Amino acid sequence: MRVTEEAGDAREHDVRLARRMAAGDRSALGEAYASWSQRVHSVASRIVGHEAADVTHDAFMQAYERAVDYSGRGPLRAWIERIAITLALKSLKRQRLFRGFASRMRAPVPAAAMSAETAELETAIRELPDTLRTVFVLHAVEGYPHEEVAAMLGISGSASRQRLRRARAILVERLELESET
Amino acid sequence: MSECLCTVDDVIRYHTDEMSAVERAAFATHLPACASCTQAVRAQALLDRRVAALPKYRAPRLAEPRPRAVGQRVLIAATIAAVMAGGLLLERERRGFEERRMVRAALAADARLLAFLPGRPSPAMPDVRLPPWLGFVMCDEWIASDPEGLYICALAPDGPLGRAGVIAGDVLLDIEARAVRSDTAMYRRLTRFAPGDVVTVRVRRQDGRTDRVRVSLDPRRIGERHPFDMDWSPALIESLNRTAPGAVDLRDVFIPDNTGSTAGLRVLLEPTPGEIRRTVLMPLPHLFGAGGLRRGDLIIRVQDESIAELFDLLPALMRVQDRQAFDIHVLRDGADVVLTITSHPGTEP
Repeated sequence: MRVTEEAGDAREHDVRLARRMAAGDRSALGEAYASWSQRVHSVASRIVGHEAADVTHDAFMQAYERAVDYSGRGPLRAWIERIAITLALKSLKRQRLFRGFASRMRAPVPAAAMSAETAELETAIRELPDTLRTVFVLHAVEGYPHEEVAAMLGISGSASRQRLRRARAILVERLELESET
Repeated sequence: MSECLCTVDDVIRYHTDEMSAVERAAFATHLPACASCTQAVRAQALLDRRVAALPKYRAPRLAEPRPRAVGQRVLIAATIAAVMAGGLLLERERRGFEERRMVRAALAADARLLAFLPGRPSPAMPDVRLPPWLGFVMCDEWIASDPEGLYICALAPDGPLGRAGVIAGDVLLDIEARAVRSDTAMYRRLTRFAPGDVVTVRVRRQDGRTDRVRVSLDPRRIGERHPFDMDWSPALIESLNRTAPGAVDLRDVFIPDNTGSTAGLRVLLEPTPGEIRRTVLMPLPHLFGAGGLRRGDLIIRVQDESIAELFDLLPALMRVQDRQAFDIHVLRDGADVVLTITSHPGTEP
């Protein structure tokens, strides 16, 4: 599993990095950002769309300001990702609040041109209900185990599994994948 | 999936490895024979492949300026502020905006009328709807208080409560079944009624009984802006003596004395604290005994107010009673003596 695979030296490196950040070392923040911002941004992009840039930025800034709270129990990357996901979920709530008079979530700009199939999948994911999309992105796209997804979203593990199944069923139907096989 | 009993959920659980070993073995046996399930499982695998091919998104530079975010946050903050302001306005309306308007208008009217000297024609009363009047003076907390209601320190015998047989020392508990534990609560309650209305009030008597009495509300008079802001009129002070049987008559304790070179109020008796407390609920019990006031003293001033008669003394004491300490200037055996009366809320004299 991604979150637990790092150990030993990597953990010491994380603790040192967090300490430097807690001491106000901007270069430590730059180092963390260079290492993990892509992944954090990818998660955020699929959860909150065009606000992902803000979420990513805010997540690293929060991590920098709160680095003293990092306990060293898990990888620093996972800790920052959790902050990002919490911020993304808050942003999602705000988006819901304004959905009445704002357009639907806009698509973020991908790093490279997408094939028609991929674009179709991106659109289908974006159109999933918020609750299903969040679980699908965290588990199926980003590889978080259900237990972690459940902890982040404040739901049970079985609820996370059930939401994932519903999301998969909707996606297969929307993309008409059964007719392609 | 019409040919078999399997559901989409079953297929996904098989694909995501969430089935128990037994279920999984059964499904695996079923799968080669069922075209629709096989197709559904393949569709799930195809979805996984498509997901694996999803692109990465380019993260912004760390210190990139984010004007949109700032704009949106300002919009959110402005919206929240507008909603809160709207809520506050509604709340203010609910809590008696009208009531405050009336108080302000009544105060302004009073101020205008009081600016005219006695004997001069007073201007016309502005068109202000004043809340009705109960005609009593509430005790200050440290003299006598009651957590369940308002301690009646004094009342006008001809006022609404006085006519209904309520006497000083009783505690006003509620008005029309709504508790009045503070002056503002009572004031709010009164604004719901008009002069002439007959309301039921509950009072607790000095012996502990609780009575319900019907009270006909009077219109408020000039100078009586607040229900308990009644002047210490001679009739009121007289009523204090009438309402406490067995208590000392203050007119026997203090008599005006202007026979000497200095006019003041002569102390003729040293009543016991009990006798005084039953007479008038004021700082009086603190004056004697530890306070140092003795029989024969001539009270000249309380703080800076000259005292010549009983009607000067009681209001003067009312005005200083919330202080930690105040001075009483007396003439004792021809010498000026300053008595510093210290008393604290809740202390016994």
